[in-house]
Amino acid sequence: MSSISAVGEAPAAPEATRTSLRKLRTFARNKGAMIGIFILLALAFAAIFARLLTPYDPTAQDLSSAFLAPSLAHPFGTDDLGQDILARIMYGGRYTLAIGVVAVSIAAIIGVPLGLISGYVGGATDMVIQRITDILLSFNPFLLALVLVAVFGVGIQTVTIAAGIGVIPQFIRLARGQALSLREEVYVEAAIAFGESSLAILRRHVLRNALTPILVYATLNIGVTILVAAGLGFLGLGVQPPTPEWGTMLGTARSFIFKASYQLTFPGLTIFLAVLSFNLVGDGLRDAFDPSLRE
Amino acid sequence: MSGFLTYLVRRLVAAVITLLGVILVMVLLVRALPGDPARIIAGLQATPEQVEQVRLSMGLDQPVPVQYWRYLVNLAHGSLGTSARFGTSVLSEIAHRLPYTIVLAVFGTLFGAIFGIALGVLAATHKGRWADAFGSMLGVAGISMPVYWLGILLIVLFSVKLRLLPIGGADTLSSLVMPTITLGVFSMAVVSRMTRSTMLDTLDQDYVRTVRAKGVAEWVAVRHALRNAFIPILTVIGLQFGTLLGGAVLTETVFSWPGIGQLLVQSINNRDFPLVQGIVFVFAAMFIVLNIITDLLYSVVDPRVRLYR
Amino acid sequence: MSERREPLLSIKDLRVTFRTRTESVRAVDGVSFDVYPGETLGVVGESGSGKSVTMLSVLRLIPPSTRVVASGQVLFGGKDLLQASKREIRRIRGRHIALIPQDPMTCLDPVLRVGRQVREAIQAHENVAAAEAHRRGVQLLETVGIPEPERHYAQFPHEYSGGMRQRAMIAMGMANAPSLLIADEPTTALDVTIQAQIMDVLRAAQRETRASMVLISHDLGLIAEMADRVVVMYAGHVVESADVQTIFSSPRHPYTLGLIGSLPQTTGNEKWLRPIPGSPPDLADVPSGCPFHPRCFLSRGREICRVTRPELRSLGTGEHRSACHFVAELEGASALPAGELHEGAGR
Repeated sequence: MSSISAVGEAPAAPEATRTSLRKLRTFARNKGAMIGIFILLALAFAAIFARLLTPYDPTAQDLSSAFLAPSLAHPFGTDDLGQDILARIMYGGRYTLAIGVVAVSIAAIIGVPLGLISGYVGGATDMVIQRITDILLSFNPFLLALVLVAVFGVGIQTVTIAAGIGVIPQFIRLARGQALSLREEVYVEAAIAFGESSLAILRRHVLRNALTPILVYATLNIGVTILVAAGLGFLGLGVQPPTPEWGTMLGTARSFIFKASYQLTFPGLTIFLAVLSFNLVGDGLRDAFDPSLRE
Repeated sequence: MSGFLTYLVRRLVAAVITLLGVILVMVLLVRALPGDPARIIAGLQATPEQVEQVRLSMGLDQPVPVQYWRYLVNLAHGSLGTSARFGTSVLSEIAHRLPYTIVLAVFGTLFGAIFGIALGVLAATHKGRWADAFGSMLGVAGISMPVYWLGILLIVLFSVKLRLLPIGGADTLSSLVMPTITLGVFSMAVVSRMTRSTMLDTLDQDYVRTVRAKGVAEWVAVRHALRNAFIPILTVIGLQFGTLLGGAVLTETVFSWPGIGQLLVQSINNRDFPLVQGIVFVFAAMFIVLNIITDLLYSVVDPRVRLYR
Repeated sequence: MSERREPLLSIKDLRVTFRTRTESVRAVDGVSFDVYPGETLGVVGESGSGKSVTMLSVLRLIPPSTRVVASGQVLFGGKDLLQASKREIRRIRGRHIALIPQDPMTCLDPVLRVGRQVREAIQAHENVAAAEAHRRGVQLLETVGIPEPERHYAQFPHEYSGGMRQRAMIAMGMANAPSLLIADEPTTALDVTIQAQIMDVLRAAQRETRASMVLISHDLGLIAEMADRVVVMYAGHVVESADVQTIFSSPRHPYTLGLIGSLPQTTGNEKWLRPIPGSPPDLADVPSGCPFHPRCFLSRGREICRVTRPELRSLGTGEHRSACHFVAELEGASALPAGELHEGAGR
């Protein structure tokens, strides 16, 4: 066993450290990615410390102060129920950001093993998994999530799972490609020759080397799942009010497009900024760590 | 040519298998409805007779394989079942709304392709300069933009504030402007990103140097590079068509565009699952057909591509 | 060839530097030479010697994505091409100076019919009707020896063999009867058996258009066969130049000597090779002083070679120039008649 690891890692270790440092520097020099990280940190900070940052309860209704345009007291204005929109956006980050991260984790946990097996084992297994991927792809992430909530009902759990299932094919395809190309690598061939079990090889060599691209993909797909979840919310089929999910807020505010268009500005802008940030960070990670993934 | 036919048949067989899978997924999902599916579909106010009627017509009284088989047999006879809400044929409900969706999808795709390619070419030919930075920014902003929010912003600007365009509906050609932009921006972003990266590669190719060495204007060289970049661009147009159809559901809802996307949302709210099944099937079929078309276009764009491998 | 004439192309102190974020690489460093009307000038050197970059800079065809800085002068028809406007350089490309590139496999646009690409070369400089351009295109293909030119005119590059592609490239090059052809390793990418044919076509094309030719090659046999004069380049510098007879009979630079020595030669029945020790320098890290000194049999650790870059100096006899501190020590060095070389390495 040790001799096999030696083929892959031991001699390269100091060199590897240096390259990852260089990649990290490349990433840190990427202005877009840094802006993205900054925005995400700001959104996360606002979500976590919302209680300290705003005096308002996001779900406290006060019809006497409904439809207030942005002012010093309510910087983003209030909605039809008199709830402070800024407070709702800050608290809402807890839901929207968590949905994005959890959904992608679900997709990766299901999709990556399937893809690795598909690419590594090949044959009939590969064909079956590929057909399933094709079927999921022909639904597309949003349509699939939409149908799933239609069946299993609205609510934060269903929405998270539904959004996650939508992007599973992405991870299957990625992991399959990685497994296919890594199978040809010398150290994997060596491991096979040394009689390591397929499972061990997949875990030890293939998965570890595929980790970087998977991370890049995950970051880029968090944006997709947030868009999907918020889109469901917009249609009234996502997280239900009074929970302050950004898409749901946008959907409710839509009825007041003539009366109070400011209600539509800030939830939408926040969704846009969150997704933009994940995409900027994902682009930066890809350019620094795995330029081969470029479209 | 017979090789080409073989290829086409193989693609169509794969498409049919995928569609069979889509139908199976839909049948299983309806079965998975919590509680009594027939009760849910028939609606809360339905009489027991109406519930039984739904149960029978959808085959919910049968085991799944039988229900699946019956759906397929009906499909072979040109029927997608009966709408639980309207009591009309699903096919006819879809048929008179589908043209709207197709028009919107075509315009959205064209918008995305034309402006995406233009933007990508501009960025690639001005690499490292402000036009490139601008294009890249627009690209990443475009893939991050929630379509529903973009639609709303356009309505606020052009309908509410400027009163230039109708807020929704599908009455005049001007009704098509905002939905097209709303739907097309994502494609535009994806296409421009792909065009830029592919063009950066093709612009450096030896054959483009040959073209420049002939003494032609630079745009002629760019045209050569673009022609050679078309295959990846076509591929990405085909692949993002799925996302575009998903976006169509939201766009149609925002603009009250009377296509099958809007109908889908209504059907879900009505728990009209026969209609939901039918619409999802049509969406999947559209996606698959478009991808076969883009693959066929490869050989038009690049004479080296032989489709019968 | 040494009669006093006005040069057609005159390169003066050309320097070309490629910049990347972290380093800058000087691919061409102070190169000067002339090309006279009607002659064939051979430019010889190993890969990375700067010979292709020099000639591509003449047409300003270095890939636009690389950040490149060129200084010096490239005089053609009384105009400095490095300073010419984009429009002026476009008028010169293809019409007055044509490029016949190294690899015909990658130099034809794969998605357009060959005929259209030939036609493009004609129509770039002349306002001719499509039918007339077509007729002339077919004629050009015939001239370069493509069989059934009418049929092949309508074919795509992938339907051509390598030799046919290079013929098509030559056809495009001679389309406007340019006064200078730049042939960049025109046969390197081709099968040995068709190299000779392509050189015949090239020679015929040159004869027909009465053009001068700059033949870039690392193949000394080819140079001996084709060139009137020779410029030898090493690490971005010209190290020796002379007429072809002189270069081969009395080379006056250790690098040239090494190049000739490394040719496979037939002495009696045995073939032998004597390669130059070491390898060409990394252009990002060119040795100090004479760039050739680490590999030079004359230098032997002499300090001047390490410290001072030798100037390209006239040797007094005709146009023979050499850049070596110890050129005197090469007096009477290995004389190899060019004629013999034809047999030895002409292939």
